[in-house]
Amino acid sequence: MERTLQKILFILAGLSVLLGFLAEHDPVFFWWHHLPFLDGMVGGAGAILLILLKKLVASFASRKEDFYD
Amino acid sequence: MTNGLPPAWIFILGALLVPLWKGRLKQGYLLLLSLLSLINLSQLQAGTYWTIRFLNYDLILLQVDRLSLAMGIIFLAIGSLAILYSLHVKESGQQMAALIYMGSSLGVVFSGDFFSLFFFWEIMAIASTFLIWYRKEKVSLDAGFRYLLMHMLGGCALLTGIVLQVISTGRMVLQPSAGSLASWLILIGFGLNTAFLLLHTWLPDAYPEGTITGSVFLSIFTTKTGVYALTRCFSGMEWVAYMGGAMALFGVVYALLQNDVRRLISYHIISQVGYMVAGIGVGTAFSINGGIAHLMNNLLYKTLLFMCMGAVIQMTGKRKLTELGGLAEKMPITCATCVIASLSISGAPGFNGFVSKGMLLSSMAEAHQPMLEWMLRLASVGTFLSFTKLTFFTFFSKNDRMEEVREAPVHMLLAMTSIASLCILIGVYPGLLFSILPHPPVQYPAYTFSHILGVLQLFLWAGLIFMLARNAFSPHAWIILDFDYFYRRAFRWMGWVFQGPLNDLRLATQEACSRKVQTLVRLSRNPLAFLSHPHKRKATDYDGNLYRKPMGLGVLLAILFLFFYGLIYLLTS
Repeated sequence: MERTLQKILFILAGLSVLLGFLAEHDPVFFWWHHLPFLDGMVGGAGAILLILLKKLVASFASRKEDFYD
Repeated sequence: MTNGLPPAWIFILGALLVPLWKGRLKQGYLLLLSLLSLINLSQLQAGTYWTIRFLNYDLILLQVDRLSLAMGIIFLAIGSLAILYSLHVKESGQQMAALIYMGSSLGVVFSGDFFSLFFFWEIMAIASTFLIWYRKEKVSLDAGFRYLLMHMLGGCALLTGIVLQVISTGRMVLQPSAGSLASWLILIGFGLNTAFLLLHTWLPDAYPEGTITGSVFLSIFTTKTGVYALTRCFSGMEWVAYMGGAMALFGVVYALLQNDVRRLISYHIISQVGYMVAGIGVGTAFSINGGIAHLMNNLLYKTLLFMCMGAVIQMTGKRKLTELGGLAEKMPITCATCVIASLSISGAPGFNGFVSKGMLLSSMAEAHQPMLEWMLRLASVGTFLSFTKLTFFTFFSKNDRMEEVREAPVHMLLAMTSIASLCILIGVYPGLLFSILPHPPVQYPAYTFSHILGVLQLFLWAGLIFMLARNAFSPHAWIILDFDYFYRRAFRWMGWVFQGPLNDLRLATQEACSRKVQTLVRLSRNPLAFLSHPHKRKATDYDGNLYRKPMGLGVLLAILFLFFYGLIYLLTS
């Protein structure tokens, strides 16, 4: 079930990038607004970046639940 | 004089009568208060009313314009649904605190001068503290005190700023002089309620520790009155805009790390308020409309999230993601409303967040603020991931220990489904929202192909990463230190300094002073003892006989005087 879901998600994600070539960002203020896969890239790379940030913060700020007790 | 009453007083005075009612009558009375206030609000028209003279200043208790009216509408609508959600509460004190808190928030929104604003601002801080204390557990009492302490500090900064402002300009109007010390102090006061970074720690500390219904009320008013005050006084301040961007990012990173469901949502309040603050800080008509639109939408889905998690905690007794799971079948309506709230806050097409988030991102680009645009884009990814995590680990992950759990009570579900419907209604008909924004006309085409596709791309790729790296998002039984760690250390250090060295110094000074006073007392009784040797001094009263000399000595001195006097006389004559 989970594998099937992953496959469907992967296909849809790829399809959304292809559809991006059909869409015209309107209005355009910066060069990156022309990229057909801007939001997909932000979604994927941003998620990885946030995982790294999360791990970094946890490495020095995580404590046992009774820390303040 | 006017065709409406100041909405604040309906709730504040109405709260005083709550203890007179019981059972169903009390529930009816609470709903009637909401209804009366909504009718009253519909009668208000733009203008300045209820002006009273106080200490040679004109205090304006009711100033109505598009901004205050928009805030009043959303505060009353959501506040009324929060009252519906909390109908099962039996403690009159808690209900009174909620009504006074709600009334004073409306008082802030409709205040036309700094003094009235400050008056309601402080009532708000005190009343809301009781919504935390009413949970009646040690952690709540402690968190409530920290909350009150922080808000009193913010209140002091605000009051000092207002006093300096009035001294320098002689006016009470809500318009601080830009760049002055007064305006910075006022900004600190407003910033504390808005949860500016470094001043934000009270929020994720106190909100998760409130009562189930108290936290719902808390999530509605305090930060939003802060955003409102910023809109009135500090829109267009670039520094504020970047503070908003930083809040948006900080909030999502910390939310991703949380295990307590209400603390996770609390960090998201900081993040979502960051979006609004960024819009207000950029200061164009479009960005301010975007900020206020996001405020109104946020009030809907954030309140709904607090309601959903409140229902989960009430029905399961659990509040940590590591202990929850498998509730989708047991609490289907709560689950459905939570999914709607999660989609709304993530900005999915068809839900209200899609409209206001799009407005804010477009306004950042239009104002040529690339850094802010990227900060908000990245925060959107974090928001989607956080609420995928929250929904998945609360409702869909496996958990066999939830067999006995049942769905939440009807009045709670009614409030939750009403707000979920509003999230969809505004998402489908954004014109309803646009019609009440402060800067008309609003012409924002939310549903363009590129916008819809962009959001779907973001969801699909971020969702894919979530699925592939799910372990990285798994909750852990830990706490994550925030900046309050430093405050707590500083206060502990101050406590040690006060109880240790400073107390020793006080005792030593007191003892030395006491000794000096005792010496003075002795000397005042017998000043001549001062002439004797210190070791021979005795604490006795003055006795003339001790110092009286024999009479012969006086005669001798007189004879000697006469002798020398006569001698000098003879020699000189």
